[in-house]
Amino acid sequence: MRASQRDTEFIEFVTAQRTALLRMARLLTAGEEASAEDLVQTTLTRLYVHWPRVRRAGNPVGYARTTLTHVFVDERRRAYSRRETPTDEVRDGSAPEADRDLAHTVLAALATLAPRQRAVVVLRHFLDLDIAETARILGCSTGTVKSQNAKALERLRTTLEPTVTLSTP
Amino acid sequence: MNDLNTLLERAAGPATTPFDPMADLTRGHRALSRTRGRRSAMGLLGVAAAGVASVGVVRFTGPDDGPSQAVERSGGNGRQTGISFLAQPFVAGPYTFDQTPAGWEVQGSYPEGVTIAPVGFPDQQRFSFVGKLVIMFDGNPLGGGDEVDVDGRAFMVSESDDYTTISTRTAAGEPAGVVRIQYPSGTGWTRDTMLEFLSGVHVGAGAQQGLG
Repeated sequence: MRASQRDTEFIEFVTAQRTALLRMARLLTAGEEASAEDLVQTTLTRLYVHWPRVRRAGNPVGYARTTLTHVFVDERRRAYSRRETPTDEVRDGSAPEADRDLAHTVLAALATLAPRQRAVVVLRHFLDLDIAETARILGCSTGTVKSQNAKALERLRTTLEPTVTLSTP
Repeated sequence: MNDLNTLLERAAGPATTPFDPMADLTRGHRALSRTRGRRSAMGLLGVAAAGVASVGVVRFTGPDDGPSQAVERSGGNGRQTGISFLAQPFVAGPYTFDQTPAGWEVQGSYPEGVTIAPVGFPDQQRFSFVGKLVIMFDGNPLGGGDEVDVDGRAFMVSESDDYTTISTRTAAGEPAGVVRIQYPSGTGWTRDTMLEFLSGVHVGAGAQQGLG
């Protein structure tokens, strides 16, 4: 594989997918903008280094989501003693104030979840992945995904209500 | 009642955000260089008895008002490479260059930078940077490396196996930020010619800082 081909394909991928990855990272980090950007940069750098493997896998988006999730979980595991806190850095200047408040409320609720629970919520309810795919990405059983998901939703409901009422999935 | 997917969609932030893919590519290049360097070092451990080719460097400098030239001679294969400058300014988008590296041409300019490659370079993709000069403008810190002073201006030189990156703050009167050039290894550029070339890069009002 020629290096220039790698560059061209990588640029195309970044152009098409970077924003989506950053949005996923924002949720994983519960709105920590700088951490989200770091996650995406680390993920994309790993993808570039392993691009021939990414290419062979035939699903660069899936590869990137998996890598992003692993980078996040690994990083949070290392920084476990540091308690996550909600942030004021929700950068959406174009959004109406009510939307910004709602976004802040949701991110604050996400911040109360353990990292793997948060990952389950993002994979299942933001990316709409099924239980089997979520389990594959997280490297756990489908039963674990189900139980983590149930606990996470219960926690979110408790945190969000009465400001926001969640519908039953 | 709120659907969780809808809430997460809103919380994830805007669906479109500005970014600079060049910055990601540059990080990728650096990481790949480090990876290859480690692999190479591991390989060298296994062949420690092998000889190491010596490389002699001779630098020729022309008259003060004429072109300067740097020539490297490799003791291993007799290859001779060099970069000579023509005292001929050129403009690429919002960027102006005091000197033209002979035998190189602009492949593309954009608000965040310029790509320059040897004339006739097979890869004509302007966002493909292997073997090319990449001039970037951004608001990131200068970065690490060796600090070199040229006429009172600080330049940071960072070298890897595949690339040398030199960064400096824009000059007074130019948009505030950092201008950096990534030079490919093995194409005849020496530290002196790299510094000389970057010293003559001017960032115009239409330049935009790349992100990342």
